[in-house]
Amino acid sequence: MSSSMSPSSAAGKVPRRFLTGYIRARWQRWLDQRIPSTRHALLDQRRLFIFPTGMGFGYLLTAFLLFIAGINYDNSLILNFSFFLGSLFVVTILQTFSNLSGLMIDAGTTEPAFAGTEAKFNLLLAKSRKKNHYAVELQWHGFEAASNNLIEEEKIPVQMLLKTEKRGVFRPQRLRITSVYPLGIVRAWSWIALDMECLVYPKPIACELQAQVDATQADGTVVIPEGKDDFDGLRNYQQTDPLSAVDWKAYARVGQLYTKRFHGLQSEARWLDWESMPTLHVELKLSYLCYWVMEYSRKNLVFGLQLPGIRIAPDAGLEHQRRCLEALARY
Amino acid sequence: MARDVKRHGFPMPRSAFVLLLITNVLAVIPHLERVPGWMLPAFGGVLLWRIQVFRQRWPFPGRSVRLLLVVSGFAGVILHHGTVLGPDAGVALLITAYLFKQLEMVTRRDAFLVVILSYFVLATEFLFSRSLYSTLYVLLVLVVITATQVALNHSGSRIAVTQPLKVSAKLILQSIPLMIALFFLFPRVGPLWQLNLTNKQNFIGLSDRMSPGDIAELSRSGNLAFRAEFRGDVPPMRDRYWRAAVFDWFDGRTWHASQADRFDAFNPQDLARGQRRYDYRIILEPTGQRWLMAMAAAEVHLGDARATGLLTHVHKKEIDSALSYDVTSYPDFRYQPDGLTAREGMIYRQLPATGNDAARRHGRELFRKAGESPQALIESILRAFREEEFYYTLKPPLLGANTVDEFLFQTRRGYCAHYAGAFVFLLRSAGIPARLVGGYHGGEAHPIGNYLLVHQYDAHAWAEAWIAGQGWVRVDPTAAVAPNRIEMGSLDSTSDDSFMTDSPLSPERLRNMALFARARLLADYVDYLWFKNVVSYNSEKQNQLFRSLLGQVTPQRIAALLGGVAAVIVLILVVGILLRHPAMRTLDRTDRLYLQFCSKLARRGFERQPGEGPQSYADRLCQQLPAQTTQIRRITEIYLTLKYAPAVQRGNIQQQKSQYSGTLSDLQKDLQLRVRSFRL
Repeated sequence: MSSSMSPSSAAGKVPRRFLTGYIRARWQRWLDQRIPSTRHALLDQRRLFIFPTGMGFGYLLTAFLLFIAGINYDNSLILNFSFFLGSLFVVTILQTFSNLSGLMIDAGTTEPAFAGTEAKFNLLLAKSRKKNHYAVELQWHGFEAASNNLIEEEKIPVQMLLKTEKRGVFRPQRLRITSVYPLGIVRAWSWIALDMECLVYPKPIACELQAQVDATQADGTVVIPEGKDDFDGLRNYQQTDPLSAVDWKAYARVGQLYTKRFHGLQSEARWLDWESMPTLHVELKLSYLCYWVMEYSRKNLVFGLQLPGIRIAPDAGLEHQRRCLEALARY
Repeated sequence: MARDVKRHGFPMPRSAFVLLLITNVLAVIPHLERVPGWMLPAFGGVLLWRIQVFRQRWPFPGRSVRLLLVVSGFAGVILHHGTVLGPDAGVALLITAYLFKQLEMVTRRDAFLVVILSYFVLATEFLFSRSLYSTLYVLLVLVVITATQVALNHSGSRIAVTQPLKVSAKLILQSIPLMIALFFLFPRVGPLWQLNLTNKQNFIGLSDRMSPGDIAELSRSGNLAFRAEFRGDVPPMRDRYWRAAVFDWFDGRTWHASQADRFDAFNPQDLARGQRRYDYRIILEPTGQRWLMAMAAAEVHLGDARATGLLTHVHKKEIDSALSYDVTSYPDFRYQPDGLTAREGMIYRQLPATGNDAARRHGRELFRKAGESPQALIESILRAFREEEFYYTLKPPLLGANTVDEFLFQTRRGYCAHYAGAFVFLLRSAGIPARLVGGYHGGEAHPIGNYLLVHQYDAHAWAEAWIAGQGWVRVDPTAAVAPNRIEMGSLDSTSDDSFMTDSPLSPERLRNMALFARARLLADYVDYLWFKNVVSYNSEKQNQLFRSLLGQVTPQRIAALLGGVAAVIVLILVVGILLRHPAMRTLDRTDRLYLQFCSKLARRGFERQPGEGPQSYADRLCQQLPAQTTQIRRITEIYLTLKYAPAVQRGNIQQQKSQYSGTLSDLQKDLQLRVRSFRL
């Protein structure tokens, strides 16, 4: 059931048939109205759905067969056995529903990834009432988290590793949150559209590149690693660092102390240029550029990035790398 | 990994596995007495194998081994029962499948299938026993089965076995009200198709022939034959002759039940009823026969019953499940006083062409000595039984070809069937119409309910002789030999060791222990009420219930009643399960007291704001309510101390402030006192 009804497969694909595409679109629209996108979802009557599982139908068939047997053998106790199974089923519907209701899901941070790798999406499951939640399963974009209990803990973090395919901003489809506890004969579930996205950088692909030197920008030939001339990047604050070197803006932003690093100028400022990539294919160009951004950063070289309409001045360091990668991702 | 799953199954939580094993054992235990004997070791072997698989010591058996096991299992059942039909064979096949499914329990789905099969195995118990105690046992096993399911769906693998059991008990308690409503109100319909379940071998009781040994066999059975519940007085012992069948054809060794009941209808003009009457209801255990027990002369108020010319009653079909029916009996009756038809005269004088010559001569001679008077002949035979060396025993010596001769002139030891049989033979030798009657005699009066318990060991045979002007007269020759047997009932009449020897642990053995006897009777009474009110609840009783509740019974009204009751129950469940605020319940006493304090203030308009801590709340209150400052401060202080102060600090506070002396519970009491007395 999960695969056929999951909305994720509808994304980005041409519907196989007009009718199923139409139904999916209607369903998606209805779902968007009923459970709008949010950073914080509380599972309640509006958001929860409930239906018997395959085993639940087996269970009901058992009850029915015993009912027939009770009638035919004129045996009121066998008949009552089937009534018991029916009543237990009704109670199980309520209990399964109750197990998920009151559960909260909070959107957490995400971490960017390269196309084709897994992006980390951090979630938080939390109790809204002093009520336990058992065997909660999360499925998102093909990833299934191990089932979780919220018994003693008030909240638990869950890390979802979502497979990315394309470069750009990745917004996964709805998160499916499921539980069949206690008896496995009824499934309660909800589709939560969490306001979460992450950047997907192009997949790095290696290529040959002839070095281009812009001579007019050359200031010197020797690199002084711990120089004071040019901003290099940030590293984690260490207690011996002078306070004047702390990046206070970054502290205000992130809440963590970073030390600015400077180095001396380098003789060659390298440019990674869109036009010089040895292909005409846009995505391939971006992949090549991505590879070289990573490569230069690894070697701690100063480089600039030139894309059509975007120019990132030569620089080095992690922040520069991030800016370049983001530019590539969002191109 | 996949290979590992194939070898050892999906990673089932340990608690689920343990519960599943308990389920298996508990579900099969009640059936062990009726399944083939080889099943017990097979069951043990399969469980051992499954445990070893779980412990990853052994792999699952291979496909061919499984196939071999299943085929040989089914073959074993069919060989043992000779059929696949009928409840016994059916249950044995079901249990075989249940057994071997264990060795195939690879996936979660397989485990669920085992759970489902457990339901079936458990439900079939009701085909054999419908007592209250069986029902309670089934309920107990249901708790374990449901707990197994809970454990299978629980994500933590390290949970204790008790946790799923608690959840399951809660689920079952919540299911019971709706189940009861469905039981009484869900419309009962008749069988969809006819089943022929009768399996005569299973029933203990009278059969349609009586040869030496039959009743002695029954005497060793403590099973209940039927109950008789009286409206009014319970009859004295001498009236408690429960007539079942008439045996009128003797082949020299065995008396055969009359086939006449198949065509001789009862003619009411033959019967003159007396004044006395008994009104009662019989609750008959399954017999596999068609006879309906009643005291002659009876009127059986049951649509499916037919009265015969033998003053017996037969049911439309074999009685294979417990049956209850109302009876009116007239003990002082006269039947056919004016004469017998020629055919009847022949039937009741029938004797085999040869054999037992001495007895024949003896009968004729006695008749001659009695002056050709039937009454005098009867008297002389009974006097002989009484005064000569005749003994009553349930373990008579074996008899040869001429059973009556050997009994009368050589062994002289026997029980009711011997005496009654010989008596009828003597009378028939003299040309007097006589017949053997089989049924039960006596019954144990129940001290609590106004009813009699009649057991298989009360099975009895007596005689009837036809005397002109009087009609059929009951004569019980056993009374002449063992008067106690008639006055006190079977249990008191003999100190013979053979009595009940087959069941060394039978409750009857312990009858003399007064306390035990009382407990046994009480247990029977509870079971009787259970049968009367629950097990025998059928469409007829349901109609009565509907009439009393609804007045006019229409499908719409029934639907409205059932729907209404079910809706109320489900609504209560919804409120109880979904809308309950467990937060309030899990609060400890300190929190409850503080919230009480807050709500007192809230009623006066000084509500605590969301997110406002107790301290800042108190600060605000003290500004707004200067008069109550001391009280508010103190309550807040105690609350915070109880709630948040570490133990050491709490101790300090107790030491510092004399009014807080004593233990923490004193502190809590102080808080309670202050909150209760807090007024605005």
